[in-house]
Amino acid sequence: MKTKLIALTLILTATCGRTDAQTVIEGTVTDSLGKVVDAYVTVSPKGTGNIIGFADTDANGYYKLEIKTTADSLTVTASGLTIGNHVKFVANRSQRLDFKVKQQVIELKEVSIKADKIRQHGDTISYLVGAYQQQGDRVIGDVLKRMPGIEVSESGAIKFNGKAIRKFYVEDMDLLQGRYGLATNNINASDVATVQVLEHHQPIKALQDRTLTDDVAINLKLKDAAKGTVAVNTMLGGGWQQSGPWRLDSRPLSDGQTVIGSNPLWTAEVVGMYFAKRRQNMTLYKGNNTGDDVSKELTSHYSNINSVSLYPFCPTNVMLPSGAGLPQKRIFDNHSHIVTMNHLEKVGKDSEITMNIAYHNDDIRREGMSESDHFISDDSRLMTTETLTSRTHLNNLSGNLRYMWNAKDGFLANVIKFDGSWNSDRVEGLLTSQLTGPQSKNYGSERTHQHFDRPTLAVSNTTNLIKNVGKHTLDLHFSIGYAQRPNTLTVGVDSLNAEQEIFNSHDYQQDIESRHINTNFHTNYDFRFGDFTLAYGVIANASFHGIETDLDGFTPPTDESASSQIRNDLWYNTYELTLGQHYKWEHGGWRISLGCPLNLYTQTLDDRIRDDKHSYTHLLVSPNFSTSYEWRDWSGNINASYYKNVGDPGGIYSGYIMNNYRAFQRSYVEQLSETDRVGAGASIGYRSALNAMFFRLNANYSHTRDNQIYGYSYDGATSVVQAVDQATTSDSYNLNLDFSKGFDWLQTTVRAFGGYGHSHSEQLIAGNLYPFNSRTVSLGAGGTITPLPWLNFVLSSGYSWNSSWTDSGGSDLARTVRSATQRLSMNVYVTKQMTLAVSVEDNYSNLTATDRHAWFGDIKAKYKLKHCDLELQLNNLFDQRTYTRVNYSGLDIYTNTTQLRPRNILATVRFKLL
Amino acid sequence: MNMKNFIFTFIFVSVCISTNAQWKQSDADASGMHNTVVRRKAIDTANLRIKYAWGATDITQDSTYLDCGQLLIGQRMTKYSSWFVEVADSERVQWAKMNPHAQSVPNGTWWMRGKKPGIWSEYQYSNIFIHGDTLNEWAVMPMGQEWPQRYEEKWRGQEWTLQEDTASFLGHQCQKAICRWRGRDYIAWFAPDIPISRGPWKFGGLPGLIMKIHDVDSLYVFEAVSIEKGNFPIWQYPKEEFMKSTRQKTWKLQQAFNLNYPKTAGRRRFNEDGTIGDLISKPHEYAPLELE
Repeated sequence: MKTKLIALTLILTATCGRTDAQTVIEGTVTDSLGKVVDAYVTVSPKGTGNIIGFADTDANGYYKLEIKTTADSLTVTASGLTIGNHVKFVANRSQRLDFKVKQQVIELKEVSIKADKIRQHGDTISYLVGAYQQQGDRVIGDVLKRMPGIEVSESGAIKFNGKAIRKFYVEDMDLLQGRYGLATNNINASDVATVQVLEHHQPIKALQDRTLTDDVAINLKLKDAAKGTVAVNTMLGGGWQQSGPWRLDSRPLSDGQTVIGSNPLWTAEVVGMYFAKRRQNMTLYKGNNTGDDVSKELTSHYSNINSVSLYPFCPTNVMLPSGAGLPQKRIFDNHSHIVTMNHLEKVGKDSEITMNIAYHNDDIRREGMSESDHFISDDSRLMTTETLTSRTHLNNLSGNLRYMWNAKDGFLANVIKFDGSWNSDRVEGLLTSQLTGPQSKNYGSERTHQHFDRPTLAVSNTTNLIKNVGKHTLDLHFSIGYAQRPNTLTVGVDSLNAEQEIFNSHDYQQDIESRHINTNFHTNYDFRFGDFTLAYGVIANASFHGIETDLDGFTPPTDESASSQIRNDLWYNTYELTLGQHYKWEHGGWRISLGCPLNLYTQTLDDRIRDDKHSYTHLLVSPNFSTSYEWRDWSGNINASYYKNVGDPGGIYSGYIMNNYRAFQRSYVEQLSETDRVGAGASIGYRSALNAMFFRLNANYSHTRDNQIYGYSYDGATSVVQAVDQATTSDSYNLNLDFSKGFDWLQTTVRAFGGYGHSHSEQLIAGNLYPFNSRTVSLGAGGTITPLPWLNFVLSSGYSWNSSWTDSGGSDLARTVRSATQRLSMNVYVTKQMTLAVSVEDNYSNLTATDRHAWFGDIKAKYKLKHCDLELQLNNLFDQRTYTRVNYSGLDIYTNTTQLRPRNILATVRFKLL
Repeated sequence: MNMKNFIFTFIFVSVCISTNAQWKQSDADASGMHNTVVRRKAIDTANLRIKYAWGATDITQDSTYLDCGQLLIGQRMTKYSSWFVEVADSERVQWAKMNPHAQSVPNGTWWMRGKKPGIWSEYQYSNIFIHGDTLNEWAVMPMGQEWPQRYEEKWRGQEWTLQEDTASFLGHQCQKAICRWRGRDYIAWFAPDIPISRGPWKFGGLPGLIMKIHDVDSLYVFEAVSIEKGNFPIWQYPKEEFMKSTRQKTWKLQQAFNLNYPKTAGRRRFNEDGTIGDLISKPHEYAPLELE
C-alpha cells in the first residue's frame, strides 16, 4: 500500500509538474540609452505565431510574463508603435530577458477594404485610381478617361465638368508648366494613388482666403513606392505595312496617289522620371514613323504667368492637303522625334526653380485631293479640283526658366522664355478650274510648286510680385518680349495645255520680314472692406509691329503705281493706358463682380512706301458683369460684357500680300477697323462626388459689329480679297450640355453631351452682300461598362447636323450635312497577363457621293511578362485607303479626299531599365 | 411539420427577429453644435488613421454604415471619433470661413453620410481620447440638450483571453480574443503585426490593433475598412463648451435620450388654447453597448 501510494504520488507529481509548469519571463524594454519606451511584450510557441501571453511594460519599462506551455522554445517579441517589433527566440524556461531596442517608426502598408471611388472634401474631389483602372490601362491618361466628370480631348487637354483645368500638379508641384500631356501619357497608372480635382484653386498662397477663383486644377498623388526613386521606362518596336517602299529616308513628293507611310515601321521611347519632396524631373525621348503624333505631348495647355503675347504679323501660308477629320494616326505620314527635359528644384521653404526644354523634329508628308464648288454669283459657280502632295520639315526648340517664391505673405515669379523654329513646307499640286453659268469658261490645268520658309524666333521675360499689406494686396506685373519672322513663300505655276505640256510658266515670290515688340506693365491694389473688394489698377501696354513685304510676279488689278501696290514697309504701333476698376461683393455662396476699365488707346501708322503717317486716339470703355451662386453641389453663373477693338495689323497694309498662290489680299481702308462686341452667357452646373454625377449647361450669345467687311472677287481660280468700308454685323447663339455619371454597378461610367449653335453673318462677293446663316446640332453619348470580370466595353457615339444657307441663294443651296462617328472597343482580359483589345469605328457623312460609311478596325494584344510588356497592334484591318469628307458653307461646297495609312502591323516591347 | 418542429422554428425565428430588432440607435435628432465646431483646435497630429465601419449591412458601401469611425494614432494620444462627423465639421468650418459674418453655421447633417445621417447616437457623437491610462469622453448630446459633457476615467483596456483561432482582415493575419466588458461578451480579432493596442470605441489592451470586434449577439459590430498614412489633425472642441461630468451621469443621460428622446429633451405639447401642455413622452426600445 505504501509503495502504491508513493508511486501514485510520484506519477501525480510528474503529471502536475508537466501540465502546470509555469514559465516566468521578465525583464525590461529600453532604448539604446536605457530610457523607457512605450511597449508591450508577447510570447508565442516558436514557429506557431500564436500569442499565448502578453504584458505591458510599466513606468520603469518592466514587464512580466507568466505562461504555461509544453513548447521547447518560445518567441518573445517586444512591440510598440515607436519601436516596431523586436523578436527573440529563447528556451521555455523561466528567465530574465531584457530588450534594448532602436526607435523606429513602423511602416504600414495603406489598405482599404473598399475606399470610395470618389471622395469630396471641401473644394477637393479625390478619385481613387485603383477603382477606375482596368487591366489594359498603362498610363494615368488611360484611367482619367474613365473617370466621371473628367474629359480628355483628342489633343490631350483636360476638362473637369466642362471647365478647362488651369493647373496640373504632380505631388503638388507644377513641374511641366502646362505641358501636362507629358504626365498623362507617361506616368504609370499603377504609380498613382489618387487624382485630386481642386476647385476654386488659388495657386498663390498670399491670395488664398483673399481672392476666390473659379479655376480648376488637377493634382496627382503618387503611391509611396513611386516617390523618391528614379524610374526609366523604355519601349522599342518595329512593324510593316501592307504596301509602301522599303526606304529609310523620306520619300520624294509625287503628284500621284501614293501610299501614306513607308516600310519599315519603327517606334522608340525612353522616359526617365523622378519625383521627390524637393526635386522632380521628367526627361524623355520619343520617336516613330507610325503616325503617332508624339508632339501633342509638348502642347502647352496653360500659361503659368501672363507673359506678353507675341505674334509677328504674317498672313502668308501654303496650300496644304486638308485633313479628313479622322484620328491623326490614320493620315499622318511622319518621321517624328521629340526630346524634352523638365526639372524642378526646391531651393528654400517656399522657393523653387523650374527649367523646361523641348525639341521637336519632324518630317511630314501629306497627300490629298480637294474639289471645291465656289459661289461666284447667283447664276455662276467656280469649280476647282486640286491634288496636292506636301512635305513639311519641322524644327522647334523652346525653353523656359522660372524662379518662384510662393509664401503666405508674398509671391514673386520671374520667367524667361525662348521659342525658335526653323520650319519649311514644299508642296506640289495640280489645279483644274472651270467657271459655270452664262459666261462659262474652262481655265484648264495648272501645275503648282510652293515652297515656304517660315523660321520664327521669340524671347520674353516676365516678372510678377504680389505682396499683402494688412488686409490689402499689391500686385506688380511686368512683361516684355520680342519676336521675328523672316519668311519667304515661292510659288511656280505652270499652265498646261490639253496634252498636259507646259505652255506658260509664272513665278511668284512673297518676302515678309515681320517683327513684334510687346511690353506690358500693370499694377493692382485690392482694398478689402468686409464682403467688398475694390480693385484699382493701372495697365500700360506698348506694342510695335514692323512689317516689310515684297511681292514679285503679281500684277495688281488697278492702275495705281505697280511698285507701291506690291510692297509694304511700315510700323504699326499701339499704346494703351488703362485705368482698371473692379468691384466685388462676396457673401455666402454669392459672388457679384463689376468691372469697368477705361482705356486710352493710341495707335500710330508709319507707312514708309506711301510716306503716310497717321495717329489715332480713342477712349475705350469695356464694362463687364458677372454674378455667380453656389449652393452645396450646385453652381450657377450669369455674365455679360462689352468691348471695342480698334485697328489691327491685318487691316492696315495697302500693298498686296500673297496669302497663298490663289489668294492676294490688301486690307487698307481710310477708316481704321472698329469691332464692337456684346456678349452674354449663363451656366448652371452640378457635381456630386457622393452620386458620382456631373452636369453642366452653358448658354452664350454674342453680337458683333464691324465697320469693314472683306470682299471677294475672282480671276480664274485666284481670289482677290480687299477690305471694304461697309458695316457688317454677326450674331451667334450657343447652347452646350455635358453630363456624366459613374455607377458602382459593373464599373460603369456613362457620358452624354449635346450642343446647339446658330450664327448669322454676311459675306460680300463680287460687290453683292449675302446674308449667311448656319445651324449646328450635335448629340453624343458613350461610356464604359464591365459586364464580366474579364470583359470591358468602351462605347462612344456622336452625331451632328449642320445646315448652312443664304437668304438669297435659292433653295437648291440649302443643304444639311449629317455626320456621325461611332466607336466600340472591347477589352478582353484573357488571363491576368494577357489583354486583347478590339475596336471598330464607323465614320459617316451623307453628302459623300459614294462610300458614305468608312469603317475602320484595329486589334491590339498585350502580354505582361515579369520584366517586360509585349504588345502587338494590327491597324486598319479593313485596309481603307482613302477617306472623303464634304463640307458645306452655305455658298461653297468643299470635298476633301485624303490618303490613309494602309493595313499595318506593329510589335513593341516595353521594359523598365531602372 | 410536427408540433415539436413548429415550436422550435417559431422560437428560432422569434429569437432572430428579436435580436435584429434590438435598437442600437434612438430617434433623437443630431445636434447642431452651431458655433462650437468653428472654434475646434488641433491638439495633436496623427500619422496613422484606421477607419471602422459600424453597423454596416454592406461593408463595401459606406452608405449602409450607421457610422464610419476613425481611430487616430497621435504622437501623444489616440482618439476615436466619427469620420462622418469630422468631414461634416470640416465642411461647416469651410462654410464659416466663406461666410465670416454669419451668426451661425448650418447644421452638420447637411453634409452627413451613412444610413441615418440625421439621427444622433452616442457612438457617433462622442470623442474618446486615450492618453496613457486615462480615458476622456467628450459627449455631444442630441438636439434639445445643447450642453455637451465630458468626463475622465481610468483606462487599462479590457481583460482579454487569447484564443488560437485566426482570420485575415485587410490583408493582416489576426488572432481571436474574447472578453466580458460592462455587461456584454465580445469577440475581437487583433493584428499582432500592427503594434497598436487600441481599437474602436473604448476597446483596446490587446497586443495588436483590433481589426474587428463584435458582441456575441453581433448587435454591435465594428470592422476596420482602411488603414491610411498621412498627417491628420486631432481636433478638440472648445473645452468651455463641455460641462464637466462623471461617467455615470453622462451614461445615464445618454440612456435617457435613447429611451425617450422628447421627454428627456423637455419637449412639450401645445394645448388647443395655445398654452404649453404636458411633456411629450415617446418611449423607444434601446439596447446599449455598455449595459452597466
